Amino acid sequence: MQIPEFWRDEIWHPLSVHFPIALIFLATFFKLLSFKYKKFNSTTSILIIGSGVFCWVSYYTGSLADGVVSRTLCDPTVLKTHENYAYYLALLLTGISILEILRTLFTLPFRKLQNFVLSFGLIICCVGVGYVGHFGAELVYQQAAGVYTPNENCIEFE
Amino acid sequence: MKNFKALALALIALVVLSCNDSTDVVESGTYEGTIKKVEADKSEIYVQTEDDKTLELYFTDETQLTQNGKKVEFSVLKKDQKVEVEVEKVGKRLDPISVNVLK
Repeated sequence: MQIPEFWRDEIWHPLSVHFPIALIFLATFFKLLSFKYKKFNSTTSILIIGSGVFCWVSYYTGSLADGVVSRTLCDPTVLKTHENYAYYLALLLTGISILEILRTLFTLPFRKLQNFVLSFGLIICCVGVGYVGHFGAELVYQQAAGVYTPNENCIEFE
Repeated sequence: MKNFKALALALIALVVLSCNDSTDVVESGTYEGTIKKVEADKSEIYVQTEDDKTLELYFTDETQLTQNGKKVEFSVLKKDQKVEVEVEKVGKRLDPISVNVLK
């Protein structure tokens, strides 16, 4: 009995998925803060774009894990819902990131409207990431997705 | 302008929803349908049944894949092929026992 290798395909998702979660919340916090303190504008831009990029990285690593864990889950419909909402979230973040890049590079009209769209979009993302994340947690803690279960006597660790 | 905005929103919604892979869970049994999508790297197929249900099937080591009574490789599977699948429902997971390529 041997412990499986750690760097398995399904490991990359939990390793990468916490970056966009943290970045989305930070981006929202700094976006709201930047209404009062303009010095945080650049920080906000970096956080927004970073969260967009890491969201797709996580989507890709999740897709890698999908091929492995789907064969062992008792309810793969939870995984499908998790994937679908993660995709919508990634699309929304991409839109927000593109708007943020455009307004950084060019002078666009309706500045107030842009700020409203960005703030509202980021708040939706915060709610969305919680919703997507709870399905991910359900997969891991209810169905042991991608989790190696040691032998009852832990003999592989001896 | 209002019409343009409505059209843009409708197009975005269409793009988003068309990318959604919704699937169904059915009882154990044999079903005929058409392959909607093949994901070769995951040994996975999506089959649209005659009663408009989408089955997501991950091949296992036990899955028998045949065509004209002979065993064939996964690579023969293509989109829009007609197949007959025998599935076993385990929890809410569908394990493909056999897949027969009809045409």
